[in-house]
Amino acid sequence: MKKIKEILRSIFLATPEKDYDFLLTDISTLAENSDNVANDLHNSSSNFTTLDEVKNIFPSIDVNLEYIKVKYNTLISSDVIVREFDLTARNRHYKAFLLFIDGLSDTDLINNYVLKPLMMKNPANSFDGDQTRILSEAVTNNITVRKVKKFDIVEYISNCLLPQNSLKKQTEFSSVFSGVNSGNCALFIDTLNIAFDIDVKGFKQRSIDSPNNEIVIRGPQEAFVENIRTNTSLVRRIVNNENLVIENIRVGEISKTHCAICYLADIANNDLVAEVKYRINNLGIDSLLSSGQLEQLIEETNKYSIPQILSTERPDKVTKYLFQGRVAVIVNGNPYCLVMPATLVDFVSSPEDTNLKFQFANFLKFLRLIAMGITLLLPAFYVAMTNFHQELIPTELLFSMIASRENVPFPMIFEILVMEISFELIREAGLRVPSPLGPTIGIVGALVLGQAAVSASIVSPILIIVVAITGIASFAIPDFSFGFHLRLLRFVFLILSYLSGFLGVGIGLFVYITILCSLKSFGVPYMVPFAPITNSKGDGYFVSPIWKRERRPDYLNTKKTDSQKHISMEWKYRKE
Amino acid sequence: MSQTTKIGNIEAIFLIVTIMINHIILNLPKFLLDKTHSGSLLNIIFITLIVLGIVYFISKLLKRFPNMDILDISEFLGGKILKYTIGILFMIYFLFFAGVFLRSFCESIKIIYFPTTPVMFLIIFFIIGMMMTNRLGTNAIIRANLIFIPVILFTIILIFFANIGNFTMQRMFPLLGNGIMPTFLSGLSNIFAFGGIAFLYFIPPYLKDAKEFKKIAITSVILSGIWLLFSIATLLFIFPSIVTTDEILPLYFASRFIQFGRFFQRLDAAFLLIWIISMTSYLSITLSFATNIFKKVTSFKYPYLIVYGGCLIVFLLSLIPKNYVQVHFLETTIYQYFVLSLIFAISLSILIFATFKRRKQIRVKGDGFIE
Repeated sequence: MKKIKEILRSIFLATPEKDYDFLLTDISTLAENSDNVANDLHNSSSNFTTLDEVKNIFPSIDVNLEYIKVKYNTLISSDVIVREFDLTARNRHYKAFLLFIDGLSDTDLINNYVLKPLMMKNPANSFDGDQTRILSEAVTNNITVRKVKKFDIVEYISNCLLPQNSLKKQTEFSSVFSGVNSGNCALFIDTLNIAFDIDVKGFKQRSIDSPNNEIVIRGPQEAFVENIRTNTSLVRRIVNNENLVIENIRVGEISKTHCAICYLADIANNDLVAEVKYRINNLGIDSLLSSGQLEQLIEETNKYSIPQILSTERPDKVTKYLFQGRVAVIVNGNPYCLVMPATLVDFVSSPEDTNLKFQFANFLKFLRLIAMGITLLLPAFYVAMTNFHQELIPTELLFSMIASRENVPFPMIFEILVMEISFELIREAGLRVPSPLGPTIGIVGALVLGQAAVSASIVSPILIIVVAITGIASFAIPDFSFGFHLRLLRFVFLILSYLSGFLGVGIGLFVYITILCSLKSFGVPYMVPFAPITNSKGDGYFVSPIWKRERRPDYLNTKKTDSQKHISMEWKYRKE
Repeated sequence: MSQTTKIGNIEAIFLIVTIMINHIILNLPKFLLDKTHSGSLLNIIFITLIVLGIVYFISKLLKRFPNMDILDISEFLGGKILKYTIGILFMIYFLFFAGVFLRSFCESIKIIYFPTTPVMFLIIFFIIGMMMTNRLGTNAIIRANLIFIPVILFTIILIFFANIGNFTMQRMFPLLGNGIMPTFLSGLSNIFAFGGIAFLYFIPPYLKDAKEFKKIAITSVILSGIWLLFSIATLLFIFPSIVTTDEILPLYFASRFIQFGRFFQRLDAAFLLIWIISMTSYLSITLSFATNIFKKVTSFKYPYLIVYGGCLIVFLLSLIPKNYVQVHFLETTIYQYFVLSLIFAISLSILIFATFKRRKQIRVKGDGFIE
């Protein structure tokens, strides 16, 4: 009976399940609805304000401990470690605690070189001699004058108890937190209003690997990694000169991301360095996660898709530009380094150019020039020539083109847009799928789709050739951002050519070049050394023989203009 | 052009050559040929020498007014009224003839490629181009022009050399054409072909090195003369001077004769592509200078509004002529008289009188009568 009742109840008296509906409450609405809540919020926020206002370290260790526990939410945060202990110095005991983040710091280092010397009794900390030391003594008129050095526990701990190569005394909480967040540990001692910032970094990181996107045949096979120190060391190792300055700047109110500004002090223009620092120092952002973000934040204009700052994963490329007098910025957590200023020529140059004989390099540069033209204009030219200027196409070729399009029901622009967008889709899919599948998707997509499209009379075979050549040409552009920019702009020219043939393409081309001429990268015109014409001895678009590259780029206004002697091959022309 | 913008020698030379080249692409060579027939070659050499002399004279006169353009000099000579008058005349010169040449070019490409398209549609394309480039500033336009001009100059040389097989050299005879008087005396008015030197009156304040003005002026005239000679020679040697070519773009018709083997038999569209770029460059430069004059005369604060206004004026002016005959009349006859009177008479007179005034001032200052 009971069961029947339950069944009936479940059938007829069942209440619908409540939908799980989570909404983020707007704080302002909440405040309007409930004065109490608002007051609480206000109180809590005022509490935070007072917490934020705390700047200097307190002499009382308990207060410091409470403050740190609140700031770091130690009750919730599992990786923040506060280790309280008794410190022994000169046989006296002081209350102390260590603050560090598990995973960022090397616990072995902390155990062996911080806690052990401080906690364990040893000859260094158990000696109980005079607390003051007489340095010198003199007696005049029965008056003894003594020069005394009072016992200073800070100096004592720093000089005798902590065998660490990098140790800083911090008086402000912000500096302490900054160190702790980057993997250091902080030592607080009772009665002292300073804390020791001890370098015990020890987190896992990717080892130096070969470059993935800027591959060269002849040349170094090292690429930047995510760790800023590793990256700066890579650069310093190649520069190998004391004039290399690596300045640290923190960006982001919350993330406080480390950025390293690198330049050669005796070469780079001071104004350029100052401008880079000015722009990076004046960024009102919460967090900085990548060099790509920084690039967008510090370039002159964001109106166009044209890249104005070089981004590279190769330390040798960065070094080459540093020697020219440019400035490099490395962002912690990102394996790409920014180089500024950059000109159009830089985006079409490959690191390989430096390693090859100038004839080979120039041949490759010539090919890249053609690749740029094809990427940008080939589809547009195809549409313009087939729709408006058929006389440009030789008669026999024109006949075969017409024959191949005979069965295609779509207008030319539809046909080409379908294929171009399909090609971009294949490319994007090839990049995003797991790496073993990537090339397969590309080949299968391109071959099968192309063949099927032609068989189904959706597109003509000649169009497949045009789209394929355009795609291949776009891969020949060394800089990813610049290649992307050209790929995007190709569609604009495509539409212009469909509207009015060479008229649209011609006007579009002039407007585009004018835009390029109007751009500046850190004060340097984008189109130098061509517009405006500058002295580009040995460093124009094409490279001259290595012995002829005597000068640094004129437009960088470097402190040293010559990069090598007039006769660099002294062995050959030395007068006996 | 803002006062901070400075241009180099080559940029300045190419700026002046651009104006000349665009007139060559349009109907200038045909007009000169119609006037002096086979004597055109001698006539071009003659007028080039005359213009060289004038330009040398202008550079000597402008030397007394460092970093001053014709508007400043007019103000110095005749106060604000003369400055406004000259400013307005030059604005008319730049804007009106930009409109006329734009219409002429669009009519030509309409006949060649877009027979069913309204000419307004083609004009709007150029106007949008002008608007976009002028928003980017004069400096950017001049630099873009610097990149394209070598290509444009090359096309004219290419038309000459690629057509050598089609030349009938005997057409240059009689060398004096219709006689000495038509070639050298009435042909003297052909100096209007060098209308591009109007920019010489405006560039001194913007030169990186003002001392180079003379070099810039002379080089640009020599280059313009050489290219004019090439284009005249091409047309003269290909087409009988009495029969003449079609009314539109004579150099385009010369380019239609070019063929390289069996594969490349009609390359004229490629030439037209480059000339479209050239025309956009020309229009952008003239609009830019016109807006700069407007800014200088009126102290107007909104640069983009001037650009939009200028584009609108050029657009409306280009629609004024009812047909191609009117366009042709405006771009040849009216243009000729306007250039001769404004550039070679009025502006030169202002320079001469201003020089007299300056010399007088210096002399009086030297005698100690005026502080």
